[in-house]
Amino acid sequence: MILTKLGRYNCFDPFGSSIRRNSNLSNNRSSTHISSKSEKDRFYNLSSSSPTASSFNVITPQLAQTIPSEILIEICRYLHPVDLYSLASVCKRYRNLLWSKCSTTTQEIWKNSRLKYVPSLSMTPPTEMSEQEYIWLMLILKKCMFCEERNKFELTMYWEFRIYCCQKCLDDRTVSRHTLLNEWNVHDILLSCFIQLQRSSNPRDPPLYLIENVKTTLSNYNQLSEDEKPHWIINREKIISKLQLENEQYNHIHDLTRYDHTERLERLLKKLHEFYAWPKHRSM
Amino acid sequence: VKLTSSEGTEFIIDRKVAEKSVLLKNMLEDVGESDMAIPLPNVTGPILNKVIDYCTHHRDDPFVSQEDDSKKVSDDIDDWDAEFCKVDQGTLFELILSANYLDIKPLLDLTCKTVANMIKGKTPDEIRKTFNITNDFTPEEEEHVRKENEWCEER
Repeated sequence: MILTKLGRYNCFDPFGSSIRRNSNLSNNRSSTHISSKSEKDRFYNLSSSSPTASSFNVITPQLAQTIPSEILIEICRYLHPVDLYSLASVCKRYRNLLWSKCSTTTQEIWKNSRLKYVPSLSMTPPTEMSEQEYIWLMLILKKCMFCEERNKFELTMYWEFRIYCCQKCLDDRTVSRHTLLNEWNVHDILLSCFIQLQRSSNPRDPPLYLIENVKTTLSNYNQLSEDEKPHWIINREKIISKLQLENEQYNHIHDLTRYDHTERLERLLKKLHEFYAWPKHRSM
Repeated sequence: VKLTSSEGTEFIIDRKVAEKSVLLKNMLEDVGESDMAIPLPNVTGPILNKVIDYCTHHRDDPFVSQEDDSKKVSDDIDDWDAEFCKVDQGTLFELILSANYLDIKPLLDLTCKTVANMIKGKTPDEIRKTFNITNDFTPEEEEHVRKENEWCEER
């Protein structure tokens, strides 16, 4: 693969390629073997650059890369979000077309693909979240967002915090109500201004708070004048309670999208098991 | 109806076949019956030949108006159409461009579906190989893309 790529650089930019090649080789431990091989390869490429071979080489990439955007968009209509995701990493042009978070055309492409190929994700992404990020969180992400954990059963979507991660990484990034009140000395009137995660339906279970969110919220709060503060708290509470309702739905459709029936059942059992074991190994 | 390809080759086809192309249909309606050949400077002879093959085979298909996009899937290609699309990539892309230019929606759909099927399930690297696309990211940019993909956000 690398050899062909170098071969093509040879056609267009012999100097650039030789510089690149040298730097590649100096980094390579087994340089002698590779170098003789690539020399041969280069020789082969040069000798075979008959008009037909070179015209084939030049015309075909032009077709796939210079094809009008409207046709690319047309092709994207038949692609699953996962394929769009791969396509977006192919070359600069495709990335520009498929990676923009603000272009309505790009958002349309992803939206159409999502609605068509992932029926369980018919709910629109929350405000301020792009289609790409939505699909990524719901479908494409296959490991913990923070570490290398890949075991599905160790991973959970915490939509409240927009994270998909393992228990350990969640613990590292969250703080309990108790810690907030006693160690961080946060006034309890502010607690309802943070995004919170209710671990179970049991109201006696204390909620968790995302450290990052607590920090930004507090810094926003501290910048306000004393008169603004009460009003700000009321507003914030409204926003949070609205989000809280929405989050339940998103968590639900996430599980529907990512897990089949058996997996959902297994996860439920695991959760139940954890629920009884939980207070023992977790300091409150 | 007479058509001339980009090299000046003349093709004589039924009006009904020509009308599969919305471009030609509108032209014929404007001009009326005429012996003058319609020049198609954007379409080469061999490609025009393929396009005519397609339109002749599908001459009796009902005209489909803008159908619901969500119903369009890429695995409903019938045998004749699949056989028709077994061409080299250069031809396939030229067919797409011609179908777009001549405004033959079903042919455009068919060829786009075929390309989409070639992309499906492939990694970015496999897609590059399939379509002979140069990876124009510098190593730094590639690293950036990898990071972006991992976090799915713009930085």
